[in-house]
Amino acid sequence: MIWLRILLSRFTALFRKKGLEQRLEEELKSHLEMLAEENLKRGMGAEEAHYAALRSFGGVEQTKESYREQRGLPFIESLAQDIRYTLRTLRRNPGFTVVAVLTLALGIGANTAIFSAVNALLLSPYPFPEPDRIMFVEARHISGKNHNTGYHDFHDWRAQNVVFEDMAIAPETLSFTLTGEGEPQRITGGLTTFSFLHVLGIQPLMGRFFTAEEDRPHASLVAVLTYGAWQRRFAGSPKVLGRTMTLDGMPYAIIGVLPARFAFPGVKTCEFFSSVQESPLNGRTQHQYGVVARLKPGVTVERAQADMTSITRRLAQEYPETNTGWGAVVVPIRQALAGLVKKPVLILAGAVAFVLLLACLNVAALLLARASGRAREVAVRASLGATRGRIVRQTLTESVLLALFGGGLGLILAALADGRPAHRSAGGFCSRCYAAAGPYVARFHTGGLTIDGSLVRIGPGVVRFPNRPQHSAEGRRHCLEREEIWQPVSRWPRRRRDGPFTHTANWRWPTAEKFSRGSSRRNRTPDRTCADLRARPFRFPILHQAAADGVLPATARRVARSAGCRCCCGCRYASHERTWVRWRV
Amino acid sequence: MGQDKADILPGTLDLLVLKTLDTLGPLHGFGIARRIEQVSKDLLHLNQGTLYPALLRLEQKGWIRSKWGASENNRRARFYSLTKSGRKQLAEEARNWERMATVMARLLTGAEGDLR
Repeated sequence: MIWLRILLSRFTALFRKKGLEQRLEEELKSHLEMLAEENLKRGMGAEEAHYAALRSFGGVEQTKESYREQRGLPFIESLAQDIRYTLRTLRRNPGFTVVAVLTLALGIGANTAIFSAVNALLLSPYPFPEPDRIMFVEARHISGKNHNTGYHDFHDWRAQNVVFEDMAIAPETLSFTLTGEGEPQRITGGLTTFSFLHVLGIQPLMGRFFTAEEDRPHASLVAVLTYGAWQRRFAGSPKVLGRTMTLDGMPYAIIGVLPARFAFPGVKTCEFFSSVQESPLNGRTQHQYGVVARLKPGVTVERAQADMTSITRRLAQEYPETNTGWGAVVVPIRQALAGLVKKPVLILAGAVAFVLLLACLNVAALLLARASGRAREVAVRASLGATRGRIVRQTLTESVLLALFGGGLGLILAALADGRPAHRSAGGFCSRCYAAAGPYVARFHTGGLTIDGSLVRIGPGVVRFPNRPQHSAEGRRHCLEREEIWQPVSRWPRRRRDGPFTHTANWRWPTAEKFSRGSSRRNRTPDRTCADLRARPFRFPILHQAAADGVLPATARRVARSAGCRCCCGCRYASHERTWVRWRV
Repeated sequence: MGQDKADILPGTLDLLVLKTLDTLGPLHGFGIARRIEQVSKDLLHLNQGTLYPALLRLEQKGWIRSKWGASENNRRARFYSLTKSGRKQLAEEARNWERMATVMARLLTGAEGDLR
């Protein structure tokens, strides 16, 4: 259980940073003062006592840093730090941020919208049992002009067929005026027959669907709400059953609520369903209804087709005036929805996939351009002791954040596109798809894009990491201007105990001239030896001192200290493999 | 290699701190460091700074607790004291250490000549 305890105390430390930091500061200060006091008693001067105390304490800043690491959760802290830093840099480059986020948003948004269509049409299962048994039965004139059915023909089909479990009129959407609930509102309803839910094989969530009696002309008016309308208009109240809605001035009794998962092509905007209640006039000449039916188990589409053909032939003989030339075609619902549009949708999906790819490439190019602009920043960070992993992680955070922003905006765009009327009614096809899977798709896309973005970003992060600051063109210029070279601490000369400076006899001092020619480790010509060094102690400013002098900005100062740079005040330095220290030549 | 002071073996600092607190009662960081140096008669080289992360670690494990108090010179300092589970831990670690020391001693007596 101890690890749990440690984790808890580390976690709580995240939120009490300020107080804990102060505690640490005070504690170390009192320790140092006690040490100095002791030294004073031994007869040292005040300053000497102070430095001696520092020496025997050993690296105050290193202590603090390792204390901080022990105290909190370094991973989370550095993550938060990275996020803050990223937000800051993004804010500071609004042009870049806007372009990158917009590019990603467009790419992701387009993909999400199209992919939800693909998903609904081609991939996802329909929200009712055994969707493969559900057929559209389309009337077909020999001229091929109409796909709809007259009301009487529908009834004859329904009564005479032997292959379908049940048949229903596919909901016809109509707009109503809702009054009596505040301002009058337009509300869309779907008109269908009582057998509709039976065909789909679903049950109402609450109450019931309407019956054959209520389907007759002049029967009392009833309405079945969709789940969304129930939630939106009646706040999901269970008392909604038995209430009435006034639609176009007529009272509709609410008798049921559909389940949340209900969906059917073309009824996305419907808030309720009611009975068609068609009066029997013009029942064979007005071809206005789509028909949906469920095959009996084991019946094939071909058999159903044969049965329907014989029925329509019979009807044509019976009513030659109206029914001559009319046949019927049985089309599985999946095929009906997908068949028409499979190719265009796939082409569109391919196209938007390329759009996404292009968006990615664009952003990658932007990032790359920025990365080269930031070579110096990376160089400085590296020289202050950031490891390659740390820098890669920071760039990774940056791209993930960027991708998240783009993804979020893309989601909004996709949602907007989804709600557009043009999208709903275009060619009757989009109206048939329900994009319930949209959000998942968007998440998928965002995730994918994050990975893309990250990969794109790691590249520069790794590649641009300078082996030494002076090895990048920018870094070289920077260093040359200041007559500096950078050395990893591990390459420092071995420390000798006797002097203030650390060197070995055979260690050679690299030259600025050589270095300006792009020296490699091997061909450095020594021109100054340690003797020169000893003669010129003032040429030995080390970061810590620079920090103390206020030469470095505050953040850099902290990093520099924690990197364990050797300090002129005499405290010990912790040799750190990855630490770079600035030497002035 | 000609070093006159030994560095503290990894993992032994905890035991040193626990034992010190057990012997002397509540003590501040400086006092603990001083005590360890005194007891070791300057044979041991303690980097005093490393004491603080170790104290924090012990506190996180619940073996010691700390609160502000005044030092003998009336200076504000944080005093550490042993908890019940810390005492138990001390007993256990001391046992482990003794066992280890016995083994090492036994092993080394045979080769004493080489080691001088």
